Amino acid sequence: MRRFGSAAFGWCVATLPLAALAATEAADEMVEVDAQHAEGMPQLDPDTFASQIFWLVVFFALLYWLVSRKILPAIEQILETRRRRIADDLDRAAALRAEAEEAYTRYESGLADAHAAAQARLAEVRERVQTEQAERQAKLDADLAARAKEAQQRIRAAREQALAGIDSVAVEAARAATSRLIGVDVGEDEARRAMQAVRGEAA
Amino acid sequence: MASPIEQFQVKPVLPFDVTFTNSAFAMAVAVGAAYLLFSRGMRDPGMIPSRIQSVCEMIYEFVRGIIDENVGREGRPYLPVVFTLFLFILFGNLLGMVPGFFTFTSHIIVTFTMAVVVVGSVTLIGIARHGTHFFSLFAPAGAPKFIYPILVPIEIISYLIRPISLSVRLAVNMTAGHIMLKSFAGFTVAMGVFGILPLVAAVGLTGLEIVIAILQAYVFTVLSCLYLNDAINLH
Amino acid sequence: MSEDDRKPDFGAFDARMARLKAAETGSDGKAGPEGEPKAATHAGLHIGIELVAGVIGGALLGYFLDAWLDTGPLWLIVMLVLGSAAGMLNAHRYIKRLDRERSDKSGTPKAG
Repeated sequence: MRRFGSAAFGWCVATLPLAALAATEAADEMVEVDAQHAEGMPQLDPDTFASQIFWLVVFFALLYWLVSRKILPAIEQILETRRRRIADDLDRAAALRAEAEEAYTRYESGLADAHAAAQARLAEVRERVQTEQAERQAKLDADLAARAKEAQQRIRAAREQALAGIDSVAVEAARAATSRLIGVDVGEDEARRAMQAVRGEAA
Repeated sequence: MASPIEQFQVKPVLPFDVTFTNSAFAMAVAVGAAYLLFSRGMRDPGMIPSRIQSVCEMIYEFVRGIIDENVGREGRPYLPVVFTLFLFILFGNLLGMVPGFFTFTSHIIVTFTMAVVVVGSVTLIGIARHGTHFFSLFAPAGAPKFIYPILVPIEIISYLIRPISLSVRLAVNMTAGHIMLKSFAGFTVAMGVFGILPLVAAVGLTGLEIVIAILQAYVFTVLSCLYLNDAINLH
Repeated sequence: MSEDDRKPDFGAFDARMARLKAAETGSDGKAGPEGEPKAATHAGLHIGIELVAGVIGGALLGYFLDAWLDTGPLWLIVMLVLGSAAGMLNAHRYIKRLDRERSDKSGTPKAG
C-alpha cells in the first residue's frame, strides 16, 4: 500500500509539468485580459504560475525525498529504540520483583523453620532437665531414706544396749537391795527373770 | 528556413518559464530549514531527547496523531507524504513571518497545485482500493433515489471544489495576515510619535500570525487526511 | 524490628508498574493533537471559504464547459447554482464535523 501511495503521488507529480505547460498557455491567452488590471494582486499574475509550479514540484519532491529517506527513518528508529528500552526495563523490573518476592518467601519460610527448630530444641532441653532433676530427686530420696533407716537401727541398737545396761544395773541393784533388806542372797539369773517379768507387766 | 545566424539565438529549452524567483528561493530556504532542524535534532539521537530533538519528535508525533485520528491504522503508509506536506507548508508559513522573506504559501497557484496533487492522489488511491465502488462516495446513503439527479452532481462538484477551498483557505489566510501586518507597519512609520499604537497592534498581530501560520499548516494537513479517510474508508 | 519493617511493599510497586505499562501502550496508540483551537472567527472564515469556493468552482466549471461546448451562458448558470449548493454542502459538513468534535471533547473521546 505504501508503494501505491508513493506511486499515486509520483503520478500526480509527473503530470505537473503538463499542468504547468497548460498554465503557461492559459496565461498567454489571458495576457490581454490581465493587462487591464496589471495593478491587481501579484498572486493572480499567470506569468509566474509556471515557474512557481515547477519549483514547487522540485522542492516538494526534494523535501519528500529527505523526509522519507532521512528524517522519518531517524525518528522512527529512535522512537522504536526508546519504546523497546522502556519495555525491556519494565520486563526487567517485573523479573526483579518476582525474584524479590521469591527471596522474601524463602526468607520467611527459613525464618519459620528456624523458629520451629529452636522451639523443638527448647522443648527437648526442658524435658531432659526435668528427667534429670527427677532422677536426682529420686536418688536423693532413696539415699535419705536409707540413711534414716540406718539411723533408726543405730538408735534401736543403742537403746537396746542401754536397756541391757539398765537391766544389769537393775539386777545388781535388786540383788543388793534384797540382800540388804531381807538378807536373802538372790541369784543373778533369778533376779534377772524377776525383773524381766516386772518389766513385762509394766510394758 | 530563417537566416543562418538564427542557430546562435539563445532561447529557453523548456517550453515553460522556470526562472528561479524569490518564491523558488523561499521554497529552497524552507526545505533547507526543515532539513536543518531535523538533521540537527536527529544527528546524535539520545534515549533522553535533547531540546531540539524533542521538537523534532513532537512534530513527528503530531503528524502521526493527525493521521491516526483522522484516517486510522490504514493511513500509516501515507505518513511520509503527509509529513512532507505539513513540513513544507509549516516552514513556508513560518518563513513568511521573517521580515523580508517571501511567503510562497500566499500564492494561490502554489497552494492550488498542492491541493490538486493531494485530491488527485487521494482519488487515485480510492479508485485503486475500491474500484468503481469508490464512486458510491457521490451517492450518499439514505437519500431517496429520486433526488439523485440533483444530489449526485452537487456531490461531484463538492468533491471537485475540494482543491479550491483547500488552496484558497491557505492562500487567503497567509495573504490577509501579511497585508494587515504590512499595513500596520506602514501606519507605524506614517504616524510618527502616534505610531506607537499601530506598532503595538502589529506586535500583537505578529503573535496571532504565527499562530495562524501553524494552524493553517495543521488545517491543510487535517483536511488532506480527512479526504484520504473518505477515499480509504468510504463513509 | 517488628515484622512489618521487613515486609516488602509490593503493592506500591505493582501500582507504579501498572501505570508505566499503561503509559507505554498508551503512547503507541492515540497520541493525537489536542485539536485546533477553533475560535469563532476561524470557523466563520472556514465556512465562508467553503461557500466562496463553491461559487468559484461552479463558475470555472461552467465557464470552461461553455467554452468547450459553445453553449453560451447555459452551463455557467447551471454550474453556479450547483456550485453554490455544493459549497453549502461542504459548509454543512464542516459544521457537522465541528459539532461532532465539540461533543467528543466534552463527552467520551471517539474510538476510531
